[in-house]
Amino acid sequence: MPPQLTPSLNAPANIRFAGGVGAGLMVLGLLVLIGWIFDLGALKSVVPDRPTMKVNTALGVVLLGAILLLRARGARGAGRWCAAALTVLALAHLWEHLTGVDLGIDQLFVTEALADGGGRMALITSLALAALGVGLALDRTMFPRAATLSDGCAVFAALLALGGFAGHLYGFYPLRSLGPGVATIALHTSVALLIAAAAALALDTTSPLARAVLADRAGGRFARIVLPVALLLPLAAGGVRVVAHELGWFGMELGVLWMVLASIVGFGGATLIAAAQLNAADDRLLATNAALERTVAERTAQLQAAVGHLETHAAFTRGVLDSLSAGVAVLDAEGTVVEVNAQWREVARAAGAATGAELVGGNYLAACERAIGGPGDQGAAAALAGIRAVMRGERTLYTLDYPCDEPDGSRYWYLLRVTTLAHRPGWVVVSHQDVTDLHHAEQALRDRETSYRSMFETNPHPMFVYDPVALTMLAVNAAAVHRYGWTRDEFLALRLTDLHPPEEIDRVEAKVPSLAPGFATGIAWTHRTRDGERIEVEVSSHGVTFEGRPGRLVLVHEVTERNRIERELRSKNTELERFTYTVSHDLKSPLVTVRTFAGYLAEDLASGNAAKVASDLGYIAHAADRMGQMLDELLELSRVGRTRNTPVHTSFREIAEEALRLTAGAVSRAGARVEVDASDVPLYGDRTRLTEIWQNLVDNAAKFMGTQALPHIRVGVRECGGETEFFVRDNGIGVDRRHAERIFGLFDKLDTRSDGTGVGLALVRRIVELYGGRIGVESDGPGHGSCFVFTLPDARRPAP
Amino acid sequence: MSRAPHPDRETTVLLVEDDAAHAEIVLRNFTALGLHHRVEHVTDGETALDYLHRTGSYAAQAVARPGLVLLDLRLPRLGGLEVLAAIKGDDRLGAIPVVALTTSSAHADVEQAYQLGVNSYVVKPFEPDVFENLLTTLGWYWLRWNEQPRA
Repeated sequence: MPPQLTPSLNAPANIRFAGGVGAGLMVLGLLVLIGWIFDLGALKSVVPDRPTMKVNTALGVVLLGAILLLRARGARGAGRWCAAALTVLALAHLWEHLTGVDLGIDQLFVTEALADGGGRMALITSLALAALGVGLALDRTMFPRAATLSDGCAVFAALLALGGFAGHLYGFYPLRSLGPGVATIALHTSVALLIAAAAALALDTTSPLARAVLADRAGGRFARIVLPVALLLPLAAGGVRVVAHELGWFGMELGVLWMVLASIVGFGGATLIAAAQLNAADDRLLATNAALERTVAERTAQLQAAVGHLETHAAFTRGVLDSLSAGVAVLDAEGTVVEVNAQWREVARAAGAATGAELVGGNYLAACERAIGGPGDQGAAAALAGIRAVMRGERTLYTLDYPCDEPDGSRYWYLLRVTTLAHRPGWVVVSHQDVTDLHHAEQALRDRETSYRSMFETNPHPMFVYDPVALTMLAVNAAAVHRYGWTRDEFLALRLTDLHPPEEIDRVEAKVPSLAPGFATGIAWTHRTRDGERIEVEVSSHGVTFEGRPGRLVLVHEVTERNRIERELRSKNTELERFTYTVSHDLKSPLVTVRTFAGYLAEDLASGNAAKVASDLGYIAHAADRMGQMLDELLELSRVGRTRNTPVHTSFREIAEEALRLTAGAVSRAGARVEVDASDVPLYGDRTRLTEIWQNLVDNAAKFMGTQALPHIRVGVRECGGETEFFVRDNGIGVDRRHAERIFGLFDKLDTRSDGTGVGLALVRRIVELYGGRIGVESDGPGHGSCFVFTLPDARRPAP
Repeated sequence: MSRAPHPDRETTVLLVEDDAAHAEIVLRNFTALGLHHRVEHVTDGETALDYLHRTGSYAAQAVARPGLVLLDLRLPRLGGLEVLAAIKGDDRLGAIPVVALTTSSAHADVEQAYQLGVNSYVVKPFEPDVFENLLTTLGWYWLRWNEQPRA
């Protein structure tokens, strides 16, 4: 595991330094070994006749270099094993020095006797190597203070090496050997160990010592400036003094002075430089701090403004919430009331806990559960289920309309709404709105609609509503269902055109789109009922909106009967006009005769022409008689419609025989034989009028017998097409088909020679029509006899 | 003098009148006028057409083509307007002048008569003098002065 380096530390450089030192030590150690093998003095001791680096020391240096190299490459395990080996090597020599026992390791490779303390590693060297070995073998992960101990070992080794180096420098030998009679440390050994100790310290930048020096802080910076001076200046100054003393340049006093001055200048200068740098750094720090403070102040102000805004907004929101006419509460996922508005609090206070209107902190679901089955339960169970459904996310909105009875008996209505709360799963917003007014308005609307609907539904006129585009039926009232015969469902399945006969459909389809939305009245149509009956109607309609769609409301006014009466009235009017004209014309004729012959009479009397006088008087008398007869018959005709005798029960035979008695004279003059059918049917009506029918017909038959040798009249009754038909048949002169209708007209006579005024058949027709019947004559032409056929439906009806 | 009176004094007048008294009045006036024409009197519409077509009871007789028809409108069997239509609808008879002589002054009758082609429409007056003058004028006009194509 590579050492963890914080970004503020000079990471790669220290590793490169340690690696370089390691490689250098291995080269040095190997060179010394080569010097021993080939007996090269320069390699063994650097300076001639000075202590040499021993073979084992060279091995130790090689090991030390390997350890540093391995550690620099991150191979901690292998490094530790080499450190252990170095420690063992060093401790073995230390053991020899302390106990004086020769372990036989001093001349392991070189057999020649060594003058300088034998071949044994110097005591100071073995101590330093042991300390370095232990320090490098330690890993700060082993125990808490391992890094400190490791630093301590390195510093200890460095001090020993420095001591050796200084001894060499100043020619003080005890410092080189750490005791008399002991092998001394070689110069290059002391330098190598000093550098190795520095490399060991540099290896772990997280160790307390490395941190103290390398930290990018005031202390580190101070140490990096002052420490080199503290280490090098005394050495260098001391060196200069020794050299100068040996050369005899100055004596002891000057030497002390030199040292003092050099120290003052060196430390003072380093301190001042460090102070200047630290002050500059401190200035930057202060400036940074000031800037930071300003930033903090700005941010704080912004924050305060934001908070103020938020508070204002919250107050506004609160105000809005409290202004709502609905009671609003927010429930969390468990049903606990989290927030309520003013109206909610008001209701809760007014109603107490019984209604379940809990305040903040209470559980609304629990309140609802309590209310179920209780006196105030008005849909509490439904509300509870609805709220839970919204909480579970099964629906986003739940509404419930519920009544609330006040103690005074009045009933209020509320609308419960439950909605989900944004960004809070499971939370819901519950509101209760008083909708009593709305309910009352709705009720009034419903009442009004019911009354309007009943105006449609119970209207005595048939009414319906149809779609003016599709022509489909949308609604129909009871009167229409009753009149048209379809059931309500059948009627609603019809199209408008189904009400009309086929010949009208085109006109209907053309008319409907042209109708303005307003009133359209009195449009005459023919409608068909379910049974196929055709009824004449007048339709009034108006555009309406029916269940949100455009429709047309139709009121049907049936005019079948009115139209029939109108037609009858028109026909009567025409008849009356004709009658008036006929009467005036035919009554004028005799008048012209009377006036004219009165004039002739005067002339003839003056001329004394007796024959002509008699003739004139004859014309006048005849005209007067005729006029009198016409007036009598007109009177009789007018009575038919005006005067009515009490209707009685009688029969066909009874009436026919009465008529035959009255016409016996005419019949016998004609020499005719009359036959009445044996079959009989009951009749109910005015006996006199009914008798007049047969009387006139028999009289007429007798009158127009012509030259018939065996005059015969048959009076009978027959059933034809569900109707009772009466007939009077003769074998007289007959009637030309062209005159079949004319003979029933007033004063119309076919034979000018016949007596009578032409009122008889007109009278018969009038009576027949009075009884709702019709009359006609059948004849195969002149000379083939005639048969008058008529019906009397109203006289055939049972008595009321 | 414009021109001499009509030379033909043998022109036949067909009088169609069901009222015997009225027929007598016409005959008397024509006689009094000295118009010595033959007046053929029939009492109903069918007989009138029989005469004109030489059918029915007139089939065997030698009858003259009338130079004027005096036509009552209210007639038994076949009305005067129907007789008028038959005359004016017949190519051979159409040129014969037909004068409607009737008691009816009904607008409908007048109109229909003219539509059917009547040559003149005259209402029988009440006053005997007026009736006389009318018949005199009619006689002179239609029989003496009025030109008509030869049959």
